[in-house]
Amino acid sequence: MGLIDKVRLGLGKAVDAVNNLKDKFTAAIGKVQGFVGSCFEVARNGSTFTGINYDSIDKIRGSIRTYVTKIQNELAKINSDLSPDKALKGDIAPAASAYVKAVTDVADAYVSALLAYSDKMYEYGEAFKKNDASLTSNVKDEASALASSAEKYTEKY
Amino acid sequence: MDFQGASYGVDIMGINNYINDLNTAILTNVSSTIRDCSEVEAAVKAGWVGQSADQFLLNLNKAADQMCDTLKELQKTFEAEIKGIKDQMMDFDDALVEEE
Repeated sequence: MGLIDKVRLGLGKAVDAVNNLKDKFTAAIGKVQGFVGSCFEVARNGSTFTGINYDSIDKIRGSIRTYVTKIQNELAKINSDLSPDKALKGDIAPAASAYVKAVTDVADAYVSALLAYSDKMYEYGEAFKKNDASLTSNVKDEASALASSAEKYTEKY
Repeated sequence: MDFQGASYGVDIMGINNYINDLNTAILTNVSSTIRDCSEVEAAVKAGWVGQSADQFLLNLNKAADQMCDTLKELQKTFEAEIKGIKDQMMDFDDALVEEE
């Protein structure tokens, strides 16, 4: 074999080695599933980011409780500030007051249903945390799969 | 005798004023408090951004509107009851002593 042929053979082997490495790299990339999702450039609400501060969850829940308490305080004023004395006389007057109280008690119980939004807030917070953990786990697995496929080429000569 | 001196009776103007006061209390004061979600909105916007946050607030405001509608129905029921008491008392007075 002449010198040129030897060089050509050597170069060919080097090219093969590079191509093999490229194939391994391509195969490693192919093992990465990637995450399929919508391609949002902006969030659906127009914001350029989405996210939550976990510390805010308790603050939001507190604000909902305050909101419900304010409503219930307004309802309570009905019984304390309004009296049928100028409208009714006799046993019917306290009976009417008791009826008004029953109405406001029903309203009070109904309004307390808004506290469900405080519980929803807790659930949404937990959902965010689970999504964070799940996504983290998936990305770590993908990184591990990539790393195990990485093979550096070292010069032989 | 004025109404305050009565042991038993109904004052038509008093009933109307009582109903109006209750309407103001329930339909205006309570309803406006229900519709004022501003503090909750501020708390949400301070710590949560995204479609989920916006939808949460939309759901809360929708629930508040539904609550106001139900309170309106409750108030109508109450109003009907009080007017029923008034009518019954007036009818009783009309019918108690027959012309001889």
